[in-house]
Amino acid sequence: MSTYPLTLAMLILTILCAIPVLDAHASGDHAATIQATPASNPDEEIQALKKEALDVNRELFMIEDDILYPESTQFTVFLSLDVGDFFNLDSVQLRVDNKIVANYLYTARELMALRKGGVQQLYQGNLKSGDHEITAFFIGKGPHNRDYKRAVSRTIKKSLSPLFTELKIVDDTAREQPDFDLAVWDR
Amino acid sequence: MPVKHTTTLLLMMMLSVAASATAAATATATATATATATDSSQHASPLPVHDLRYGKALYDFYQDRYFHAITDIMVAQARHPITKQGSDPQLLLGSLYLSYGMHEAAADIFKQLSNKDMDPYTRSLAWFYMGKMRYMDGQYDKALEALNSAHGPLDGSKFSERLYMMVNADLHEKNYKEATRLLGQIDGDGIWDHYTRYNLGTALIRTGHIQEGINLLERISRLTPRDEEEYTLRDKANIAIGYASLRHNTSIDPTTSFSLVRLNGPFSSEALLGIGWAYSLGKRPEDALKPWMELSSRTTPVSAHQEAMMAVAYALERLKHPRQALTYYTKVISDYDHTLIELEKALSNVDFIALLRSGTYSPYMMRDKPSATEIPLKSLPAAAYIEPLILSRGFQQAYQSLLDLNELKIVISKWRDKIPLLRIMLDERRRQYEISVASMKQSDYAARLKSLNQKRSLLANRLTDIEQHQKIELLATRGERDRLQRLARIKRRLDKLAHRGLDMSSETTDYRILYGLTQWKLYTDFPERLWQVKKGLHELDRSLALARRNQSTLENILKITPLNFDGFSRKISDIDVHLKNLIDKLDSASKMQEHYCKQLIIDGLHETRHQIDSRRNRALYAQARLYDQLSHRSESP
Repeated sequence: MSTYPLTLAMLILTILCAIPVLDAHASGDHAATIQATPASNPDEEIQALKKEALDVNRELFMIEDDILYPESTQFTVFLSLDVGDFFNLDSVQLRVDNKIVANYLYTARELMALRKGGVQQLYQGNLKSGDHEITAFFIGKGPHNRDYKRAVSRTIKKSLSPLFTELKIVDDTAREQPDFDLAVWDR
Repeated sequence: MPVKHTTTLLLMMMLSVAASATAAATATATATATATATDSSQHASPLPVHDLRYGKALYDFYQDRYFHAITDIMVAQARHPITKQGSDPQLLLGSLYLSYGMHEAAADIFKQLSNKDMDPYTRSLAWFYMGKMRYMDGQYDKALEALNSAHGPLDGSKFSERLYMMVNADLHEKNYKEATRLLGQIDGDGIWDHYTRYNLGTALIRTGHIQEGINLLERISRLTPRDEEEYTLRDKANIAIGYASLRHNTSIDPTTSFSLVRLNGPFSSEALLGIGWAYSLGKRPEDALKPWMELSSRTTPVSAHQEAMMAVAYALERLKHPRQALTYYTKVISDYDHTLIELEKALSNVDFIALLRSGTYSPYMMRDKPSATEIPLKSLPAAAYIEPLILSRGFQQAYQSLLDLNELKIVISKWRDKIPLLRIMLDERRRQYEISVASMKQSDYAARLKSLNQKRSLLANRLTDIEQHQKIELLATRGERDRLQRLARIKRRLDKLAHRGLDMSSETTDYRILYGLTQWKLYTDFPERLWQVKKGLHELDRSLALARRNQSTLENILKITPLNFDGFSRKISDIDVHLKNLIDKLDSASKMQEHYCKQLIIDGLHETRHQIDSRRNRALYAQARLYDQLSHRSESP
């Protein structure tokens, strides 16, 4: 039995060769037996399929746009949020010439994307040439977590070119209030 | 001989523990790496958006809707390229491809962006992503080449991540000197810095630079964790220091390091096992029993429980309690038997993929990673062995590809379902177009515009005549014209009366004054009136030009639209066929990938079964040996 310590020391020496050889991308316990790619690597095939699907998807989006929203009548409304400390957006209602065209309720994930700088395409539709009144109602929580409802309205001129407008919610730090605006974009 | 067999058994046991330590630690580190693969291309603060379409792509990107975000940029680039955002859209597209597993497409973009004509930040970022891709693909030499080129400005997190990857790539390439040199550039306390220290520290220990390795690990073992990831990393560092001290008999007491590991953390089993070994090596087997007994009393993780039972049996044997040791060996053999039966059941009865599909974590077009809590594994036989397989990086990657394929199938199938609707919409537009054409023909816009142009020309000629011949009266107001007419009538009457011999001199003087005043007003106002009329004519010209432009646009639309209808119709038919083929391809690829995923689990379970079988055989051998020993003892006088 006197051979125990020596053998154990050797044992631990061997063990330690296997201890934390760690890499953030190394495989796991049984993952040693799991390879990311099989003998015939399907990864390239999957990548090619993704590419093909993306190309078709793009093509179809463009065809759909062309058919449903021709450039001469196309009208798109986007929504952006700058900072958002003074306003927690819950929902938006959009009216064109006093007709409701969109109602949108936001998820936490969408609000996070807006706060990071993403811009939501709120509505896409068709408008005849001429003057139109665009109104947006913003509902949410304002300063001190109070219920808050504000509207912004503007008359815009639609020509035969596509029209892009942006509903902007920005923080007015001086007044400690949210500020709402409707801007028209040139492509 | 008996001792040799016991130690072999224990060696297998501890190797397994060490492997579990690696597995658990890796899972955390991999989670970080995965998260960063996404986060790395995200900006901490909102980006200024100069093109709404770019903002829309960001909106999808921030929600991990990579497929939609890529489509947003592709559509924008195909219509009117985004020019107001510099190289951001391309960088975004590259990182989107990277996040969506399309490394080849991402590489093409980053290659373009690493061009010398690009600004240093973009170039550096492009090289960084290229390096990251190569690193993720395991091409460490190429990763180093690219990451070395990313020497331009990078933000703090990316700078640390770059060094982390470079040190690891050097370690994989066995460039320990270079890895150590790179570590000199790290003085921060970010998570990447700690991972880098950890990996280099353990690598140094493995290559015999014990003290240097321990020094690096000690910095982690002393940190005040801010989150679970740092707690886990600190535990791992203490485990590594403890085992290194055990092995090399350093001045550090391994029990101190092991006891710094959280008892409720994922590494408590390794720590308890380590403390036991530290006591056992210190010839205190009775003290070793305590942590091992504690570990053996835990039912999870199963492998740690079984290993602790073996360790307890071993300690009892050393303490010369062969009967008790025998009891433990018998118990662990029974445990192994049960596990083997469970594994058999799992292998023969369970459809793992269907099970994963029934989980809650596969939302449409989301890339949320499955986690242990979301997968309904608990009811499964051998769940404890299936879980690490499912959470392994290899399976996660393969399963993500399967999810991607299935999601693509859904997207493409939805488009196929929409094809009849597109045809209806196209027919409706054609009908509307025909109605509009008929209405336009009826109203004869062109003739009206022509007549308007003619009237304008006449007006312009008249104006020229008025200006050239100073026909001031032609610019008189209605009131002035009335007055002039009245004055003319008065003049005629005055002349008539004078002709009859009446004295009209006073009235004639009045008339002259009034007429002169009117003429004077017309003369003085003439330039301004002429300017006003000219201005009006210019405005008319502008309106006519706009009308002509609209007419021309309309004519073009009228000319092109029928062709477009035919083009769209053809396109829709072609794309319908394409969609059908694509769905078939996706279906077949998805089936293959599903089979591959299943096979990964099955192979892993076979391997586990093999390992448990070996451990069970060794336990059986130890049991037989003890029986033998006890029977000899009872036979001896």
